[in-house]
Amino acid sequence: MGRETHTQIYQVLQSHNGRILGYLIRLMGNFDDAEDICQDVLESALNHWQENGIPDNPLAWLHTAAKNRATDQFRHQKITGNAEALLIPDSDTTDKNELLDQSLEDDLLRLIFTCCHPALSENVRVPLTLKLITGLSLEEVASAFLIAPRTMEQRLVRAKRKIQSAGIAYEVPSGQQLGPRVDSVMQTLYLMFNEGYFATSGKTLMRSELCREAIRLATIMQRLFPGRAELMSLLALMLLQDSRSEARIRTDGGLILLQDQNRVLWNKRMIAQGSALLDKALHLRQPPGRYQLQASIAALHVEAKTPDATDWNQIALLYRRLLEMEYTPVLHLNYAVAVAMSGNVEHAMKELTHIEVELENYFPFYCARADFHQKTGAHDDCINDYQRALTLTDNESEQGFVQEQLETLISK
Amino acid sequence: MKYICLIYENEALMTSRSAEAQEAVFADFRVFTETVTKAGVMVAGDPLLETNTATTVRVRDGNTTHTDGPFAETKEQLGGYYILDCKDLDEALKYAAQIPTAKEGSIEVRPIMEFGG
Repeated sequence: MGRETHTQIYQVLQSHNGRILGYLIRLMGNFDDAEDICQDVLESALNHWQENGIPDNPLAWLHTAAKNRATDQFRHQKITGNAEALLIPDSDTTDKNELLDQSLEDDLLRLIFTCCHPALSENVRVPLTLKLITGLSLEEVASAFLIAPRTMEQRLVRAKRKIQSAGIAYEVPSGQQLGPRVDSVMQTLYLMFNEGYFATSGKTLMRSELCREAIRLATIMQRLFPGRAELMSLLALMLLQDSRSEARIRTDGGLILLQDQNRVLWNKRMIAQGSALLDKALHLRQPPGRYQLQASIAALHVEAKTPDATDWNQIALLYRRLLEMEYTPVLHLNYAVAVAMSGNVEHAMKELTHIEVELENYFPFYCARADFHQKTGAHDDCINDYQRALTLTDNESEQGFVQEQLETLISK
Repeated sequence: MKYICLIYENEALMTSRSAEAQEAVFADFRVFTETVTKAGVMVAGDPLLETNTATTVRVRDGNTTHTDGPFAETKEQLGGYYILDCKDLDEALKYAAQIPTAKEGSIEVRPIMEFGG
């Protein structure tokens, strides 16, 4: 029993934060009391565990600490609160631990579903989930979204107020409600992952934290709600994309394009996990949803040994199906790029004419079209498009990329 | 917990309906009212006459003004309401989705403020 480091303790506490807070919210019946007690419990754990080491069953330790403080508060305020919640049926130790785990898992689920309720606006579901479930601090959550902590705090307060005053039930949905509510959780976790994956600025550490947390929560959801192809596919998508995280960023912070990434740095274990999960999902033969299609595209990218070996035809087909499901101009652009990469640049060019107007100020549109012009040898058009692209971004690494292309072209 | 379901619809669409179509809508509403009554959540509900029958009253600095029409021009207009007593927001939303107008218009669901006894 050595001296655990602050970091190790912090990591353990973070991984259990959601369960303990979920439990306390059910006990106390409101966020404020629950969060206050939770904060106390975590601080106390930090002190005790630095002295005495991390206990064998940290979750049970935290649960007891939380239960004791809640009981004290009830006695203090002379209200009964949710007293039965304090009782766990008597049984031998192993059963009791299992029951405790199950009970706390349910509380975590309640919290996830509540934070992801569709009645809450999209832009608040992700930070709320991050703050309450993953135990990130207000400053960390705010910096992930590039807004001031005070602004983030107000947003979260309003969300919590809405949950209580609108009467959003603190329950795991069941029956007919479960499907749409699981959809809402999936959408929130997808947004959380994208926030971490595609953030073009902000602290690098926070970005990977978001991806990690999204994967962690999606894993829990997948385990507790088996047999859902879209849920499996969402997790597969996250694993397959995150597998490339080591190869995506240059030392100066710039992004490396997929075709230029060093594939040796791709995480093979995550790729194997993601591919296996996607396979399982496909075998369920449920009507394909957006996550299944996106995961299939991601799988085709990572399964290619080299960029040239990529099955662009299949990728283009998948984008077409995605477009039929939910049309966006950006998705249409991705489709056009896939078509061009599969060899049919003329067709790709034609596709671009459909989205010219909507994407007239979109940096990637001009980069894509410049690339198509280059493929067909339209030198001047290519230069023009890259120059236009240059005016559409403040991002240093994006500018650097375009400058490089222009220098190569102009010197020809 | 009581919720008010405010029923908004584009009046122009409403007035352009044929008599048969309008009768069908009323029939749908009767079915809905029966549903929520049987479920024990119905507290109140009424259709409203069109916004051109509305008068808006404002009192400023002791002066009362009456304006012909609704309080503001909006794309969809308030056409009726239901007050439902539900166990939580999800139950209220479930019923709101069954209000016939939900298919073409919008239903705003808001909790009614309760005062402790």
